[in-house]
Amino acid sequence: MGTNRITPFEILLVEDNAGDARLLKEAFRDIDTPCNINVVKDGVDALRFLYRQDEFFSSPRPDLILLDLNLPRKDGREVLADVKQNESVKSIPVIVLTTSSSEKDIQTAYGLYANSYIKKPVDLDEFEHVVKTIEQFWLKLAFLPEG
Amino acid sequence: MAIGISGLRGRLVLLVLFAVIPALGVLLFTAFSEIRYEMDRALKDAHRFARYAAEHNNSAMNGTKHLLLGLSKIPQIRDMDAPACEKIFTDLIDVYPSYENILLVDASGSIVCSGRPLTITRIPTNTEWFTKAVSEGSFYFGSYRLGLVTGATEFSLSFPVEDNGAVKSVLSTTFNLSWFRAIAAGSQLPEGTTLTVLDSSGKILAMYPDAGDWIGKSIGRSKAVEMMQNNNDGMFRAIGLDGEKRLFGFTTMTGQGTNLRLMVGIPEKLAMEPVKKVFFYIGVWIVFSTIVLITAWVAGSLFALNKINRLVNVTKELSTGNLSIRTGIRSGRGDLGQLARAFDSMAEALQERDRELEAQTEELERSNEELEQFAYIASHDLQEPLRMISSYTQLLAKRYKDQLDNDANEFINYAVDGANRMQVLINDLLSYSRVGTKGEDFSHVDLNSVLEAVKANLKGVIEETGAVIKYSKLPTVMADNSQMIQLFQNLIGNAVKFRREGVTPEIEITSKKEGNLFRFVVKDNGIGIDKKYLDRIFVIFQRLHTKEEFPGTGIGLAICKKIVERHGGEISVESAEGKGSDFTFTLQGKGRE
Repeated sequence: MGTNRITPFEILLVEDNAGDARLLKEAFRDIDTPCNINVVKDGVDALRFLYRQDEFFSSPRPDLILLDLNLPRKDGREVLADVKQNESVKSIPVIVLTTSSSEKDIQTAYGLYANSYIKKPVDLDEFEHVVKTIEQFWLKLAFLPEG
Repeated sequence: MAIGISGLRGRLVLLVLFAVIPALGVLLFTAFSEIRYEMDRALKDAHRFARYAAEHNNSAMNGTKHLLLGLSKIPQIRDMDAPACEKIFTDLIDVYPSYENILLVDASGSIVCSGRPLTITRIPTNTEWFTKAVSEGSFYFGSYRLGLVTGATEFSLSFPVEDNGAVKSVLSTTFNLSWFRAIAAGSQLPEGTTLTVLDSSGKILAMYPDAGDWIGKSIGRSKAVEMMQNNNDGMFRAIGLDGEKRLFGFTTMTGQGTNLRLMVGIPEKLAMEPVKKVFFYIGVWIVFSTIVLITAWVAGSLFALNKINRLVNVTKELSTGNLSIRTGIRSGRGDLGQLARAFDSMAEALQERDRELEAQTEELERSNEELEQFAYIASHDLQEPLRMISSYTQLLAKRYKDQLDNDANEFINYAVDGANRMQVLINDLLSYSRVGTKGEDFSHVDLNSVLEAVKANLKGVIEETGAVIKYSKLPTVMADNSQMIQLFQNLIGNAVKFRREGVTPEIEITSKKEGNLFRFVVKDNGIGIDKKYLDRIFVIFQRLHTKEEFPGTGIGLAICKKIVERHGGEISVESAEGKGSDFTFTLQGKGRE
């Protein structure tokens, strides 16, 4: 079992679709582990959040990044490449969460050192199951690096 | 570049040879006829001359005989009047140089008078011509011999002068062979012609031109000598004493006691003089032919081979894909010039086609990319709103289930079901479009392994329905392995799915080789298909049953058709409703049976 911590997990959700973001938030609300979901709508904001730039100067360091691939301005692949090349943030696990199940996208994501690749399910129950599984593995079973 | 007899240059030269050789043959034939004719003529000449000379000799003998007879009647000679007799003899010798000498000898052997001064006064009493003349009382022809005094060939002729039946004296003349020099010199025979007198043993008695060394020697034994001994006259060809080839004619000199042969030899090369002209023509012809051959060789290069070589090289270049190459031969009205120009326009057309093809390929690649893009959009962008509809209606139902009535729940179910079906349709459409764009390269695919994979994939339904799948050894084909699995899985899956109520599904797969193709039949004992729908079942999203009876979007057979067509085959169906269906399709049989 992972660490017992008092503070909630900080999760950065990079998602341009407000509906998906809300669904995820809802799903994370239903799990036992306390989580703080930080949502940014594009790749540029995702990087500014991570590097605490501009209005994100006081943003927390996320414990986990949930990254959609198709994003406005700077897409998920670019964000992934940037994160995994940056010494200060590359240890943060990145879970690619996307509607695409194309082999090309999967190859690209793992090639850029994504920590896992999950397809967004259509069915709500399955969606909730995915979130629960993420909780079980990443938030409970796995040890995560200290900020 | 080397061109053998099969090459154009070789053939050209061969053609020239065909034209030249018969003419050469005619010339050679003429030459050989000419040689034979000339040889024959020379032999005849030699023979004729030999006979003529022999005739001359014979008449000389007869003349001498008459001379001696005449002399014996002269009173001064009968009376042995020495001075008068000597005068007669001397005059005779002066007129006839053939007479070496004329003698009158008395019965005792004393010389009465002589045509030439002699150192002796009497002859040996055993001298043949003397004893014979005395004893036989008639003419005596002596044989040729080498004269003791002159060293030349001579012979003696003697006649007894009788008085009242007793031999008083003997008249004798010595005859030399100088006569035939005169004949030979006066003849029209070619220079170098020889005259030879031989005795029966082959000893040379006289020769013209003079060959002193040979006189008295034997020419030895040879076929020619043998022939002369056995025949009175004839002709032959032999090498003369001087080592030169001659054509000989011979005959017998008669009128003497001995059997002499007179032989005339004409040098062959002289006889062949007229033939030289023909050989000269042959020589000229050979030189001419050689020049023609060389011209054909060179002209072949200049006028034809260069162009042909160019054509060959350009063809090779073209075949390696260099479509911009041209022969560049613009001149020449001949066949080759026309060929070259036709070739160039062909290359031009090819290049044009290539450009069109390239443009089409680019267009195709672009449209493929667009299709890819569409497929991606369909899988990602179209599904996202669907997920929203589906997820939020479900969330609504979940969060507010206590506040909603049955109607609301039913409506929500329809909305979710619709969204889910839309999702499936999009995925099916995606698979359908990917048959063409996402195919793997063809390889040798063993359809027996494909069937094993399909049975494994369908294990659930097969066990559940107790379906029996029968097939004998299937061939190996050149195909996309995963699409083969998809094809057989769709067909077998359909056969199991559309089974008759209460009937165990039986599926039989057979294959037959037809030329380059393999024809496959997947036969089932299912519900079959109404004839009026047969032509519709391969169309995408065509369904013959409600989704309550048989679930599915109607994509399976459309995908099957697309896969078979991608593999260069055709698919069709025959069916009897309520009995079963036969799906028949062909695949290109590039593989092994």
